[in-house]
Amino acid sequence: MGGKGAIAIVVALIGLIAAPLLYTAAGNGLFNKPPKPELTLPAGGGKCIEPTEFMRKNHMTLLVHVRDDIVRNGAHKPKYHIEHCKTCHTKRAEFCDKCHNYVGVKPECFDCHYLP
Amino acid sequence: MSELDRRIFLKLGAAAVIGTTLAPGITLFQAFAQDETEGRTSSKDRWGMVIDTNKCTADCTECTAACRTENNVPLFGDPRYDGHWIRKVTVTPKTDGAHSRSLPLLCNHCEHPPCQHVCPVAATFTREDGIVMIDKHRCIGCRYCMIACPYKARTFVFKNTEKWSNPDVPKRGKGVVEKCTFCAHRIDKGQIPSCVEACNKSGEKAMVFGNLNDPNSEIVQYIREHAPKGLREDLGLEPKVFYKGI
Repeated sequence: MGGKGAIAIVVALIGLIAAPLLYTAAGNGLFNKPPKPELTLPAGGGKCIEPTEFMRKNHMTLLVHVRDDIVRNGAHKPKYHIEHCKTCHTKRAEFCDKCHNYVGVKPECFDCHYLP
Repeated sequence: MSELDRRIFLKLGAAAVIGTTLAPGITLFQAFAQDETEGRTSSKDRWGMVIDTNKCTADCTECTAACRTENNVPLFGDPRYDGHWIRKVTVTPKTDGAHSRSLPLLCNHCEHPPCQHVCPVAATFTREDGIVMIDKHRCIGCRYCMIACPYKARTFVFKNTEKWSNPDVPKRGKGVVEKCTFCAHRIDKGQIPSCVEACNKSGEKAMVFGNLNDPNSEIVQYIREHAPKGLREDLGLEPKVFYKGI
């Protein structure tokens, strides 16, 4: 008895405490990896202003930079503008939300700005 | 170095000096600098407005209605939460109660805006063309500016608006301060503010909008002729909205 018995009891207790938590987690699908978002190119067949890989990593920097330039300096014709994107990517659900939902990012842009 | 080479060198040097400074303040390099400023607000413009209170009738609310639709200014039906970019007020002289005047009151876009001075996060700023604007991305909603403004032109956004009445203009999120922008988005397109347009359409034509720096503009001619006054000019804020007949 002694050491072995004590370990067995501790393991049993941990199991007992963890069981309901694991049960709930499994029920909520926390162990399943979410499916990768299926991205479809817009039908227009236009060309992105920068390569796709660059835009994936840096679109937020471009948008913030242009935001300050438009608001503060009154730039009317900036090179990067979400208006350019909107000419091909017409639906926000397809364009923004799919990836943002996948990575769990919630930008507040569209609380105020309109993108259908 | 031969004599000829030296002469060419000196000539080139002189040409370079002349080329960079044609006259004080005028340089050739402006030609290059202009490319950067193209499509931006210009410090040559100074936008202002004149309101003729003799023509403004008490029960007309065309300007306020037009502003609400243009700029998504919310109207919840509860005066505690309603936003106001332009509102109709009635002023009555203390000496004579009979001669009251009705006039629209909006942001005066002061040359020395007190709201900008008190803003702790520099969210309020003056654009190159003199329009005082709020960067709502930066505003923390402390409401110092609302206290500083002598015209009570600013309102706080207590609630989110549900829908856009005009998708071209962003709504305001809960927790920032909003105010008139002189319809800066329209000015950038070369149009006049929606309140002035509505006033002209309604036939009252009590509002004149234009460039105060342009000596030939309608507004400058109007000011020269009628000498309208700004509100509370004693404060020294140099408001750019002038009123005739008060």
